[in-house]
This record gives sequence, C-alpha cells and structure tokens, in this order.
Amino acid sequence: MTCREFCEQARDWVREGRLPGDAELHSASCEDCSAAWSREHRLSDLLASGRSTEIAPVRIETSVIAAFNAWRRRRWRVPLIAGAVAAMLLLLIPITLRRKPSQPAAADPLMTEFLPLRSAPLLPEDSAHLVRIRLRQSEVRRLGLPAGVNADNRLVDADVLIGQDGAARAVRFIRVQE
Amino acid sequence: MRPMRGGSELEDVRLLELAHRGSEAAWTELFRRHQGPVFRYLLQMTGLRGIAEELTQEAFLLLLAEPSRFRPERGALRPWLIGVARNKLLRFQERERRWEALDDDLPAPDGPEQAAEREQVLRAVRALPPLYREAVVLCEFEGMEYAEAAKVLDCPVGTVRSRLHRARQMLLEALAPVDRGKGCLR
Repeated sequence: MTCREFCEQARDWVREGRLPGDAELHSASCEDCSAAWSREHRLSDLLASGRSTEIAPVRIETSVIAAFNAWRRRRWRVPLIAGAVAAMLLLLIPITLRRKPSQPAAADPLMTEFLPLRSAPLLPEDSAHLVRIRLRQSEVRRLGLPAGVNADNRLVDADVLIGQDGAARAVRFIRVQE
Repeated sequence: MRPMRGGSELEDVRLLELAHRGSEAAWTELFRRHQGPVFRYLLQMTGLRGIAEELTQEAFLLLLAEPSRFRPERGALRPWLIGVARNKLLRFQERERRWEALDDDLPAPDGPEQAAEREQVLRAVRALPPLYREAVVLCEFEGMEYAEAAKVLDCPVGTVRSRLHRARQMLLEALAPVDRGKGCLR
C-alpha cells in the first residue's frame, strides 16, 4: 500500500472504525501515515463531541398534532357531506319516479311552418322578434291564410314574426295537442 | 391520546399508512421518531432556532398533505424528510437572502473544557461553506451513510464522499489550534 492510497481511504476507515490489515502494516512502518491516521481519529472524536440529541420543542409537536387533527376532520367532513347528499338523492329518486305518472303529460304544441305575409320577406340577416297572439279562425281567413270554415269563432294561437320596422313578416299557427 | 403499542417496532411505511387512516398515535410516533434529525439539520444549517422549528413543522405537514410524494421504494422516510426540509430551507434563503445568523444557543455541555472544545467544533462546522457543512451535519453528526446523505442532497454518493473529505480537511486546518499541545490534528 502506498501513502497516497492510505491517505485517500483513511477517512473512510475512521468512519468504519477499523483499519484493514495491509493499512495497519503500512501505518506501522510509515510515520506520516500513522500521524495522519491519528489526526483523522482525533477529528472524529472532536466531531463526536459536537453531536447533539436536541429535538424541536414540545410546542412544535403540539402544533403538528393539531394540524393532523384538523386535517383528519376536514378529510372526514367531505365524504360525510357527499354521503349525505347521495343518501338524499337516493331517497328523492323513488319519490320522483312514483310521482311522474300521476302528473299531467306536458303539452306538446304542434306548429305549422312560418307562412310569409304580404309585406317584404324577412331576410336571414334581419333581426326580428316573436309575438304570440290569439285570434279567431275567421280573422285567419281574412288574412288570406288557410283556416277551417265550420268554426269561425274558434280561437287559434299563432306566433307572429315582426321585423325591425314593426311590420308583421310571417306567422305560424299553433295547436295544443289534447 | 392512547399510546401506540410496540410503536418503535413498526415500520415507517406502516405508521404512515395508519396515520393516513386517521391514527393520531401513529402520526405522533412518526413525528417523534424523525423530528430530531430534521430539526438538528436545520439548526446547524441556519443557526436560527425559530426557522429550524418552522421548517421542521412544514416538512411534516407536507408529508401529511401530500403523502404520495414520499415513495418508499426510492428510500427511507428520514432522508426524504430531511430532503424536504433542505428544499424548504433553500427556498427560504432565496426569499430572505439571508444565510447565517449564528445564535449561541448551544446545549449545555458537560464541563468547562469540554464546553470550549465543543463550541469550537461547532463554530468550525458552521464556518464551513454550506455544501460541505451539510455533508458533515448529515454524515458526522447524524451518522448517515453516504447513500442516505446522497438521497437528502440529491447528488451521487461519490459527491457526498468527496465533499465530506474536503470538509474534514478544512476542519483539520480550522481546529488545529484546539489541539495544540495534544499533537494529533496536524
């Protein structure tokens, strides 16, 4: 073993707390390496004196445990709320399903296409608004639109499309399904 | 709080599992088991007791809030916790642009001669550049293996070894006067 090899590894041997056989032989025959070995040993002893067993104060433990308990409460609150919501939904669904058949069927209106009126036709880029009106069949006929002849007084619902100039542009008739 | 039966025998991973199922006893055991090395590392690196306390707490709170960041297959819990504390410390130092504020709040020594010697050792260690100082704190003071220290420092084992060797060389030079008359350090 050379002095260089000895010096390179002496620190690791000190840490391991043992000197291998060939290093021991070298140390016995080399004053410099023997002194280096002693120095490293002495340094390790000095460093050992700097070791401490100090720990964080109790208030840190108290605080970390309090944080744990707060985390635990939060963690359980979410599933509890979710569980409560799920339970309520489970209760409500059968009630809703039971009620549904007894409710009157939603009115499903039948509509004609929009029929253009005499004024200028509505172009796609024009804006307009829709007004729902109720009128007699006789009035429908007077407008030149198709209507039954046997029930002049019968009321008919209609959507009238009114252009920006206020003129009616088109109309569609609505019949509520019975 | 109910004491944890046979707590010291339980593996960290099992304790962590129990803690995440809500066991306060398991959480307390984990904290008590590892807080010392985390706290001492921070204290040696900053010299600021308040910061060491705060960052110790933060390291454990991260474990609580994001347990999946600790991967047991990649190493033990203690190096991971010290690594977290180290990252927090680096961020703190970046933010505060403050490196050292040595307090003299050292633990009570055994006797006057030992006290002086110990104080000089600690001062010499604290005077080392941070990269070398942390190698000494982890490997010499906390008795970590090179591989464990490498996990903490996020560097190869060879780097830890060379930093420690260099640090010891610096300490030999710095502490030579301490040993004047004993004839061993130079």
